[in-house]
This record gives sequence, structure tokens and C-alpha cells, in this order.
Amino acid sequence: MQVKDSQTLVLCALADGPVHGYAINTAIEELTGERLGPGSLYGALARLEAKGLIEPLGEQGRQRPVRLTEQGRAVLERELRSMAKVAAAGLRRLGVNPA
Amino acid sequence: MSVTKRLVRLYPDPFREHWGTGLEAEAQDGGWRSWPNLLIGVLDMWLHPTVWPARSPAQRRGRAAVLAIAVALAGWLAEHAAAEQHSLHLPGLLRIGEMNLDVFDAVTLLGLALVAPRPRLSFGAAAAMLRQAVRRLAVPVLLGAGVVVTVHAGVGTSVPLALRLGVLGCWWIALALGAVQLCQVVAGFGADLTVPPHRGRLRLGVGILAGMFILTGAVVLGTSMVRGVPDTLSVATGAGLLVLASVCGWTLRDLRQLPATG
Repeated sequence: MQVKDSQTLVLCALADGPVHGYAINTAIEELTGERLGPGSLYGALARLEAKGLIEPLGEQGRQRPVRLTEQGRAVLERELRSMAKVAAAGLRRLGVNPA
Repeated sequence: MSVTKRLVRLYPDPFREHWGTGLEAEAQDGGWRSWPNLLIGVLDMWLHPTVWPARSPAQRRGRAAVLAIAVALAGWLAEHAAAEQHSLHLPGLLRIGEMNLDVFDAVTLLGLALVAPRPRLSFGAAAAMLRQAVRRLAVPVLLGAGVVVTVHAGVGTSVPLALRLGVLGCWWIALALGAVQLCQVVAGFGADLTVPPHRGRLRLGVGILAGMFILTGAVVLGTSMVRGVPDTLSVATGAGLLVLASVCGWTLRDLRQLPATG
């Protein structure tokens, strides 16, 4: 896998369109039930930007929204397909219907 | 100033300028429970300068070069400080004595030569670099020169122990200060004065430093165990060198993940 868990969560939160840090964490909370710590969230954002998977849109007031790049979208899709494959295989072995 | 604000201020400037507002708002929301995560984030960012917000991949490589120089100088200081305590001597091939320190120095210099940014070849750039270097390095150089003059003037066994220890302390302070200032000098050179190393050269240099730290750290730790009662200084030096090797390893991984262009 190319990205870590917190980075995958951030990419997932950005899949719907550009959002800023606080909204990203709110989306992650809806997805997982808990927010990322501030150091983890902004560390993940910095890493994703360094890898060219997200890009800033310019400041809007005090907010700094970011969006997925084409490469980020491709990486997220690959990660999710890989995770889905692992999850489906694991559920099958447990005797649970993946659907 | 609140604890949260103080913790946010510990982040590197480029990171804080880019993400500081959102980071602080998120941390204020989390209250004291966010402090450990903030502290880990601070440490994480200082150890990974290539992921700080940057104008170009070249700027990221420049930051990695400064980190590699800092790590090389820290290892050099630790190794020499320990060797001067005469605690790293081993019989036979594993002896980390004067001869092997020469090898250590040569490999460190090779690593430094590979990771160091190249100066731009113009009179203006050379003059600007010289000015910055003199301003930053004057104090440690003068302090070191003062120690050399004092020792040559006769600070021998006839002089009180406290004075000899003071001179020795000044020598090591001069070396440590010089190392810190050298990193500041290189970090202060902008794109108009130097060209950061290419990714391949930088990775080779960092790889050489990592390999050397792993080897010497393992030998020093092994030495301290072989002689029965572990020597605290040797154990600390060996462990420190292995930590420096880890930092080099993280930098290599960060460099691999950077976009290849730029």
C-alpha cells in the first residue's frame, strides 16, 4: 500500500470535493466514529501534498481548502480496491457473506 | 499564551505558516487531550523536513540535505567524544581507535560531499555565502582558536584540574556550536546561492551515512557488551548512532516518495 491509514482517511474525505482541515476531520469522524488528532491530521495533509496527491486551492478567509489531484484520485481508488479485496477474502474465510 | 498555542509554535515555520491556523483551531477543539498528539506531530515534522510545504521538489531536497548534514555532524561529534574517553578500544580487527576514526571521518566527509548543496559559480553568490558563513561561524571559530592558543601556551598537567576541564569544555562547546551554526549557514543559503543535490546523489549520500552509522553503532554497542560490565557512555553512543541511522532511513523513504520531477 502506498499511503498510511490516516492518509487514506483524508483522501476518502476529499473524494466528494475540496474541503478544509476541520471539515475533513468531521467527515473522518462520520466515517470512523472518531476524529484524528490535530498532529496526525495535518501531518497526513502535509505528506499527501508532498507526494502530489492533494493540492491547495488558495486561502478562503482563515480556511485553506484542499482537493484531490488526478494522481490522488487514482491512488485512492487503488487503495480502496486493495482494501475491499482483502476485506472480502477475510469475510469469506470467516464464513460471512461479503455483500 | 495557552499551552496549545505554545505547542503549535514548536512546529517548523514553513509548516506553521501553511497549516498553523487550522492546526491550532483543531487542537483548541480537542483541549488538553490533543497535546500528546501535537507533541508527536512536532517531533514527526522536525524529523521529516521533506514533507514541509515547499515551493518545489528542489526546496524539499535542500531541506533533506540540511537534515543529512546535521545528522552527519551529530554522529561525528558523538563518535569523537566517546573515542576521546578511551572507551571504544577493542582488540584486533574491531578496534575503534585512532585508525578507525580516520575511516569514520573519511566516510562522513564522503557522505557530506554527496549531500551538500552545490554553490552557484558567481562572484556575487560566493561573496554572499562568505558573508553569511563568517557571521555565523565567527564565534565558534574564535572560541576554538582560543582553546588551541591556550593549550599551546602551556595548559598542561601543572595547571589546576578545574582550568583544564574548563578549556576542554570550551573546545567541545566550540565544536557543537560550530556544527549547529554550519547547519544554519547551509539552511540559510537560498536558491539564488546554491543548487540542492539531485535525488540520486542525495540518496547515495544519505545511504552511505546510514550504512556507516549502522556499522559503527553496532560495533560500539557490541564492544560495550564484550567487555563485561556495559560502559554507559559506549552504550549511549552506540544507541545514538543507531538512532541517527534511523533518521537517515526515514529520509531515504521520504525522498523515494517525492515526485521525481523538479
